[in-house]
Amino acid sequence: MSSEVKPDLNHFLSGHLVVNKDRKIIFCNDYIHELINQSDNKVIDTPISKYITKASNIFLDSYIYPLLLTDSTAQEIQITWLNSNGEKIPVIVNIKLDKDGLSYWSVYICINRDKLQNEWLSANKKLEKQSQELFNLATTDPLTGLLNRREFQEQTKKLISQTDRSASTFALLSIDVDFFKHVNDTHGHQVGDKVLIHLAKLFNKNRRANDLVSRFGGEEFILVLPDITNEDAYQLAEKLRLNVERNPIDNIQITLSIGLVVTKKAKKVNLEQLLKTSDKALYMSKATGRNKTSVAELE
Amino acid sequence: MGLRNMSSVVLSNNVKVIGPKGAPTLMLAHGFGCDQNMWRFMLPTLEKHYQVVLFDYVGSGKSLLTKFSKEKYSALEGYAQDIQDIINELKFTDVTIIGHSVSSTIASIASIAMPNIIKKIIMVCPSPCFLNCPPDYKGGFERNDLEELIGLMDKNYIGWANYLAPLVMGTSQSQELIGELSGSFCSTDPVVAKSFANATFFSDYRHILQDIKCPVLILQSSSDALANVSVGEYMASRIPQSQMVVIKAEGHCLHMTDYDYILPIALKFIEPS
Repeated sequence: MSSEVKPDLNHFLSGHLVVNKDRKIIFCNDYIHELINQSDNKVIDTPISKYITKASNIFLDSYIYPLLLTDSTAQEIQITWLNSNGEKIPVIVNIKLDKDGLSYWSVYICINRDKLQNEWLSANKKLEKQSQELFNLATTDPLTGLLNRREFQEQTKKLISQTDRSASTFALLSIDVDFFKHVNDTHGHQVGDKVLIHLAKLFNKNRRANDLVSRFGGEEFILVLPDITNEDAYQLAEKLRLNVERNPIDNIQITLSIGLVVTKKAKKVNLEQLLKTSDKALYMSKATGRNKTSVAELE
Repeated sequence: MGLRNMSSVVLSNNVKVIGPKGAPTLMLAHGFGCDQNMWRFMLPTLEKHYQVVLFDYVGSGKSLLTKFSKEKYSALEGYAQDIQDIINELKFTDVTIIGHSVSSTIASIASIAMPNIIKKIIMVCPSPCFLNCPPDYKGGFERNDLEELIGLMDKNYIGWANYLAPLVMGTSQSQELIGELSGSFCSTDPVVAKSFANATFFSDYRHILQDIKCPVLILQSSSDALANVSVGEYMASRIPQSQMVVIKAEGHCLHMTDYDYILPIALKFIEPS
């Protein structure tokens, strides 16, 4: 009985096409006619480009044909079919190119697979967005938008280990608002918040691309400035301090006490040492009348 | 410090400087989905006359992938920053840029940021905006087309991770030529390719054309599925010091398919005798 079975490509639930060197269709089975929604005589000798979308044509030129010419096959590739009514149908194609330049296409409709993929892609997009939001929540201070204490510590530790290898220096500024409790007590917490936001903006405005600016806690900010000399770091501290002294915020006179420490070339430090030293400098500023920048040397 | 940073840009962007020292500086900026390898046909001639600077944008070719930031490279300004960083670190003072496709826009952004250094731009198959913006601009694509293209990149993820041929070489090129051109595919990371594709295809930089202060040569292909002749004409009419030459050719990669033809035109523009 088996000898009586005559394989007929029209019986298969898959499209079969032969495309010549000029990318014109020279053979196709019934599945393709149904896909295109057109009878045989119109399909033959028509460029394949007519039956796939513009995007798919770009994909064909930039990926599928170069791949065929390199490997002779291109498998499991999704493009979009365009039928004679202008409807778009996602299809998977497997293509083989022979040495005479004829390409043999197998075409399968993949509407459901495409739906699944779209769902997966949009879920992925949503997850990416959520993870970014969570990252932002976990790393920034909600009031000022600056790095929070934890992220500051993470990033500074990274910077310290990079600096260990590169033999350059960086500075750390501890900045504290003088008599901030008094501002809160006299003008209320909302005004206190305004002051903190104003300062965060000022520090951000003066930061270089690689500087770290953080709200370390309460009314204390820490700035980390990579690749900077002692003098430049001191000047920046003074620039910030004078800017605040000369420009009242919401008609309130604010001043800053600053502690500065600069690392030494090729000398290893850790975050605790740095914070301890800048804190010492900050304490000196507070103890000697506030509204000033003091420098402490690393031990 | 200078040295350290210099070597870091050289590494991040896989910068190569070739040709005679002291010769005028010519920077070659590759287009979407490719790398500096795409200039290989023009290079033998150019390196005789110029100090040629080749590089890969971060995320393309042999650049340092670790330097890629989705935020920075989601807009063409991020890529323009790559060009500016290279110029700054290598201390070039007088630069001509040849940019392919989207790199023409990237070079324009850089030139507006450093008008005293970037003195001339040659644009190969440029487009400031791939979208149709009726009534007076036809970028060639509807938003749907381009969204679908990005979708195809997602859905054929693994393929794009391996290679991406120079975009659109024209269907009527001989198979031998396409075979040769795609012989060495450009490697592109899929996440990066998608960011670059988004930045390239959905941006509209028509408004900066009038701010380009340096002389510009526009080389447009007479039959290019990505950038049609009217796009070149639109650009030429808005860039103050521009001239346009339409090359009778097929495809979007004149510097690979018709380099013999465009080389003398480019050389004449760089150094008018």
